[in-house]
Amino acid sequence: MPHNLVSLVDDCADLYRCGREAQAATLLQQVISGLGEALQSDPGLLTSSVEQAVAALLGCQESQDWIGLADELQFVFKPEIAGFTGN
Amino acid sequence: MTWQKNTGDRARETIASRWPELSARLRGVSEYKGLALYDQGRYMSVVAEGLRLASAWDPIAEANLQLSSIPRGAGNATVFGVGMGYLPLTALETRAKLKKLVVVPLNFNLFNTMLDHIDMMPWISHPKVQLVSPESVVDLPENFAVTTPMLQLAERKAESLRDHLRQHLAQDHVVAFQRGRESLISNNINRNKLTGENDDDVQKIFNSASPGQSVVVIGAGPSLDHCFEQVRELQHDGAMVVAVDAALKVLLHREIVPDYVVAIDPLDSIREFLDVKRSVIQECGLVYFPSADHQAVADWPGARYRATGTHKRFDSFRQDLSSSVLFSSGGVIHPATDLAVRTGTEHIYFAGADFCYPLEHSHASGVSVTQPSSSVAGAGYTVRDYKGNAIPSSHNLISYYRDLEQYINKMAPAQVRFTNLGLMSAEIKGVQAVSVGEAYAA
Repeated sequence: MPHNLVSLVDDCADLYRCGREAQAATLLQQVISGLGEALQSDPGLLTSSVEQAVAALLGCQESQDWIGLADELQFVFKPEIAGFTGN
Repeated sequence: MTWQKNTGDRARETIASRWPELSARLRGVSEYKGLALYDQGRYMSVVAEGLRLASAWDPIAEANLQLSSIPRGAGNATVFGVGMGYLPLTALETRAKLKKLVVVPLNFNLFNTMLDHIDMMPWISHPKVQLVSPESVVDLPENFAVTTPMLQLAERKAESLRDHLRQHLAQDHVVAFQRGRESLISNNINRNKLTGENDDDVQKIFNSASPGQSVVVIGAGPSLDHCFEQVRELQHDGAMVVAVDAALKVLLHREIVPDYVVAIDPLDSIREFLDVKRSVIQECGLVYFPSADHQAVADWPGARYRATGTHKRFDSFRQDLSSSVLFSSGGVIHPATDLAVRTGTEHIYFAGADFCYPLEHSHASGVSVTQPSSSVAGAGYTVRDYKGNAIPSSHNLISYYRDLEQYINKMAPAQVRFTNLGLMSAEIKGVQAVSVGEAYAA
C-alpha cells in the first residue's frame, strides 16, 4: 500500500478540476492500482462502501464527468481509504 | 448558491444596458434542456448533460483552485465559461487589484437558462466586469481561468476557442512528454549533424514552383483513401507533391511518386515509413528535421535536404550546418505545408490532412501504424468536418489542427489559396473544401 495514496487522490482530483484530464488519468490509474495492492494484502478492507465508492468513480469516469469524479475521489473515496492507510 | 425561479429578468436587463450586442444574442437562444440538480453533496450543484458544473462539496475551494493561474496582484483577468458563476464571483472577491474582469460565456444557451435560476447579479452588475462573446477572443490573454466543465459543453461558435484553451491546459503534459523524448531527440540531432553536411539546405527547394504550378500536401489521414485519383490527376497536370513520411508507401503503392517527403519524428517507427528502394522513389527527396530518427534519414536512398525549426534544441545544428527554418508546431504536416508555401506556389491542395478519425481509423489504409479509431480517439475530443459533423479526434491532432489553422491565417502569404480535397477532414478556417470529384475545377 503506497503511503502517499491519500495525497495522490488530492492531486488527482485537483488535476481533474483544472481540466488536465490526461495527467489526472495517469494518477487515477495509480490510485486504483494502489487500492488493489492494499486489498491484496488485506482482503478484509474491501467493504461494500469501498466497492460503492469505486463504482461511483468509474461511473463518473465513463461519463467524463470530471468534477463529479473529483468530488467522488476527495469526498467519498478518500474518507474510505484514509481509515486503512493510517493517514 | 441556491436554485431559484425567475432571477433572470434583472440580469438580462443589466446585460441589455451594459452589452446590448450580447443581449440580442441571449434573446435568440432557447431554453437549455438537459439540466438536473445534484443534491447528494454539501451544496446543491447543477448537472448539464450529465456533467457536474461545480463541486457539490466545496465549490469555493474549487473556484480558488481554478483561479490559481491568475496572480493575486493581476490588473486584468479573463474567466472562460460561467457555469454556476463561482469563478467570476470568486475572482472579484479574491483579486482586489483587478481593474477589469472579462467574462466569456462558452455556451449562451446554458448561460441564459442559468440566469433564470441562479442569481448572477453580484458579478454581472459589477463595474469591473466586461462580458464578451467567445468568437471575439482572438488570442488567449495573459491571465485567465476556466470553468472547466464548460469546455465539454462549449457551443459551436466557441469550439475554436475551446480547442485553444484545452491546448493551453495540456501544455505541462506536452512539455513533460517532450522532456521524456529529449535524449532521443538530442541523440538524433548529434548523429544527423555528422552526416548532414553532405545534404542540401532545404532552401534549395524554395521558390522552385514554376508559374501557375500548384502543390499538393499529403497527410496520412483516413480520407486519403478517397483522394488518390485527384492527386494523380493534379500531378499529371504538373502539380508538385509533398507528402508526410507516413503517407509515402501508400502513395507509392498507387504509383504516385511524391517530389518530396518530410520527416521530423525522433521515433524509430519512421524507418518503416521511409524504407524504400531508390528505383521506386525515383527523384523523390527527403526533407528532414535534425530530430528525425537518424537511421531512417541515413538509409534514405535519394537526395536529402536539411531543415530546422525555431526551437532552441536546433541551435547547435543550425550553427554548424546552415539550415533554413520551416514552421513546426509538433506535427509533420506543419513543415510539409510551410515547404509548399516556400516553393512560391499560389495554390496548395491538402489531401489526407484530417486531424480527426473519419472512417473509423487512425490513418489511411495501408499505413503501417493504422489502428481502429476507437483505440486512439480521446474521450470527449471532436472536431467539425466540412459538413459540420462532429468527428472523433484526439488532443494532439486538435493541437496540430489549430496550429496549422493559425499558420494559414496569420503567417502564410495572403495570395496563397488553400483547397482541401474532400469534406471529411477537420474544417480549417481559410481552406476551402471541394468534394472529391470536383477537385479538378477548383
